[in-house]
Amino acid sequence: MRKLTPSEIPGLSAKAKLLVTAGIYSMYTVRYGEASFLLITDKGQRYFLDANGSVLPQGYSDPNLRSIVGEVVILEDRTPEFAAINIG
Amino acid sequence: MRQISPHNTTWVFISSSEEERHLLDIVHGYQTLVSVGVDPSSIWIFVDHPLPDIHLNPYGISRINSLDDIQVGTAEVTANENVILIVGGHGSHAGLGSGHLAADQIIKWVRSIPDIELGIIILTQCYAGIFNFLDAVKFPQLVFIGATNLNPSVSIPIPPSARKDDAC
Repeated sequence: MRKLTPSEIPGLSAKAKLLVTAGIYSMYTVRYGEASFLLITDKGQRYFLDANGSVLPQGYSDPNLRSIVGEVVILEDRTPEFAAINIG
Repeated sequence: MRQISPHNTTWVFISSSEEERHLLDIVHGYQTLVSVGVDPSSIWIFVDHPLPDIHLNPYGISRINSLDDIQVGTAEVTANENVILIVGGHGSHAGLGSGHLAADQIIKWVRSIPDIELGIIILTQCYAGIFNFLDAVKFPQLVFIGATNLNPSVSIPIPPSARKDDAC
């Protein structure tokens, strides 16, 4: 489990950070090409991110993520607005 | 009067979701049960998240099963007189998640657990009302507690300030 503050990944959008903080999107450390992180949305869409959190163009077609995924990333955000979200 | 105790009850968490928050709901339930004396071997978890162990292992949860086991009928849990099933994650008109596990499949599976005398099914997902018209009376009797009817669960929009950007 790796803890980051939102400011450590300035390339990721505010909305994506909010959704990661809320536990709706998932974020992992990865060992794959130039990617440092993998972002998975609630719909299962996958985005590789560089160390700043910016989306990389590379894709990954293998549905088995075990070989590249390291730890869960926890975004520590003290703003309370995410607490009200409950969708589905 | 039937008593629910740490020693006569099997606890089952099932969830269809790719979202971490739904796994953390299970963590909360698991830790609460263990804190009151429930043996971890009496707690069963079935999920369809692609990487559940990475999320759950840090909280001491290592025994994780696939939701597919229930769908195909191969899921086996500890026999006990009471079974309490907590359904989390997403729901739809067709069942759990996008509908790959229907309400009648879940009920049929619960009733097939050896030695069960009473099943309590707690529904926290959207569209829990799909369980409304299923036979709860035949043995073993089932008690349903639902957070929703044929509607989504409480949904508060994401603040407009966070909607300006696309997802990524």
